[in-house]
Amino acid sequence: MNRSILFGLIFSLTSSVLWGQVAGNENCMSCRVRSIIGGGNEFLSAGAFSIRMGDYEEGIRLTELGLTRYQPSLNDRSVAQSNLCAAHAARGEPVVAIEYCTESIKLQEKNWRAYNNRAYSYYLLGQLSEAVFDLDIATQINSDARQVIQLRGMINERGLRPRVIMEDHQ
Amino acid sequence: MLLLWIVPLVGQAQFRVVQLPSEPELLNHLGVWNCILYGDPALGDERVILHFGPDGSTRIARPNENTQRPWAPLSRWQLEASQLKFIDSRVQRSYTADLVRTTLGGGWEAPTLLGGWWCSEAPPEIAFNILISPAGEPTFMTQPLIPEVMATPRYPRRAIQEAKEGRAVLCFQVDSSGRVKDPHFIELTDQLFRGTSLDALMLSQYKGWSDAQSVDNRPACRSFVYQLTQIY
Repeated sequence: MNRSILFGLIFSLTSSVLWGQVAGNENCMSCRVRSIIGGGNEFLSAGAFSIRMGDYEEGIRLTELGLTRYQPSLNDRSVAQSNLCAAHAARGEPVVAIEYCTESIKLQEKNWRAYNNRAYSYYLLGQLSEAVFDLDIATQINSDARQVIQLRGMINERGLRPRVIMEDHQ
Repeated sequence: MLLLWIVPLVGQAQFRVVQLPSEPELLNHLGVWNCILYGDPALGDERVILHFGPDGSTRIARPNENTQRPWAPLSRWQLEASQLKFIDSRVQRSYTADLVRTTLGGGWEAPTLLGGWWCSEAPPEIAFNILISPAGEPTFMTQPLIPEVMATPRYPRRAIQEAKEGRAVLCFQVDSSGRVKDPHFIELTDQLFRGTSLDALMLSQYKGWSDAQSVDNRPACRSFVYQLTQIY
């Protein structure tokens, strides 16, 4: 079933840097306004909604059902994997999250949200170089994304040591 | 109709509440000034005395040089709007100062260098006496300002998040009790660094040199260089 589905997942965690996403048409208006439009795969839509509401376990369950009970398109599979990545990262399981994000990127290499989610997972692990590497790719794909900018700030806060040098002239 | 006519007037009246700054009064630069020049890596900070004559003459005196003939001529000073300009052709420096400020000072430019200068008004008799006296060191100008409290600014969080580095140079007066007064920004690379630089400077204190409430303020400047180091 190659019918394009639209399901959105934008969930705000405490940091709100993780991204689920709307699958299907990348240019659709619903993607931009991040609304959930029930598409053909109700499980994925419901899973996205649950994750957005902070019910990560339920979101993971529904998303996995959506991946097995339907035959989503390549793009939708990528979106679903990215959402699973985000949910696991939010649950404090960055290692598991990275596997899902990597799978998502394999399916759709222009999925900036998957890069952003994986960057956040690396950030949770303290692997800042890897996080910056992924974030740079996400920035190349979508430099205006608020989540990318926000995560960049978090990484900078942890990874840059500030110093102020003062000199008197008299 | 009357109502339609009144409403725009009320709107205008509200706008009139906003007070515009009055025309700035220009500083009178004529006279003798106790100044510091900074920014030259070879010379370091220099303390000099500048004299601006009503005839357009500009003279400079360096206390450690010839005390018998202390004054060296510079170019004639010129005023362009609020900008005072003069040139030291010996070192190819062009000096500018915005006379809108409360004291004399600004920047200087040489072919490959940039710097700043800042002055306190000096009573003429002090300047002349010190420079002409052949005996001993000229104490008024060679006595350094000793910092007693140097507050370090915090690095603005937003600047860290945005990975912004920068520089701020503030010039100010130090009064005889060692307090910092009348700070002005001479350089500021980003507005993010304005507040923290100013806060740190105003928490600083120098060692006073007189208990009396004398008017002999001394000029000083402080640079703040904000740097970030990657630690991963």
